[in-house]
Amino acid sequence: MILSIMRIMTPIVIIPSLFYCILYSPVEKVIGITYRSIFFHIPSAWIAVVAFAVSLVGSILFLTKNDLKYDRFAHRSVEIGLLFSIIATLTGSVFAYYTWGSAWNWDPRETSIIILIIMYAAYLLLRNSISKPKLRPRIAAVYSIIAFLTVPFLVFILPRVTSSLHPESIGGGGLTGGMWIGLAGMLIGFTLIFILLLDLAVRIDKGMEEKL
Amino acid sequence: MNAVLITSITLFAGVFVYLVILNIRLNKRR
Repeated sequence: MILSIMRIMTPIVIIPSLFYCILYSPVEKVIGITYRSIFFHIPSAWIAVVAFAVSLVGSILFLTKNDLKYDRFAHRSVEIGLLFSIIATLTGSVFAYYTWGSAWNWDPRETSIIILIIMYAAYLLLRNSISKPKLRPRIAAVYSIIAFLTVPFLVFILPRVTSSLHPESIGGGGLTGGMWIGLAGMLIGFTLIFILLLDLAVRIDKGMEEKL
Repeated sequence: MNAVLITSITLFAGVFVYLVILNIRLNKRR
């Protein structure tokens, strides 16, 4: 029921937000309309963090309740999180090329997202390298919990402590009212897309296991 | 405007690629 409402809500939220963000959002004083990239860059980074958090919750629930359902959520959530962190890196790189002058600057955020990508890619490798089906979800869950401990540090703490070219560490993002509306629309829309993708992936897994 | 187009296409292409991967998985199951 909730999912079918989400399926209807997703295009209703995304399509007007897209039109607003690309065509009508207010022009930024310094970099002009190039800043509109953030409407795609920030939601992808946000979904990456949400996905890794969902994986943490799934892993904890799997270890406490020992139900494979939660393991499926944890596993596919890492997969989607990895996809969106790669998208965030690529879009950020394009945005950096147009505003900072170079596609890769070893900014603290760029470095930390690379570490995150490697860490969660290792999750998938670790998972696939364990052949015992009973052991696999257990070890993966423990790894996922340990890996998530670094997410708040790498995403929120490190870029704010060290000097960075990202707006929040050089004094304010400078987003005005109209920009926040577009960003909020995109964030909500992409959270809905994430939930639908996760549901789809988990249902496919479930079907595969039932067939085996 | 170039940056905006490239970033938006990257994002949607990423989602599309994932849907293709899911579709391949689904077909393997059948």
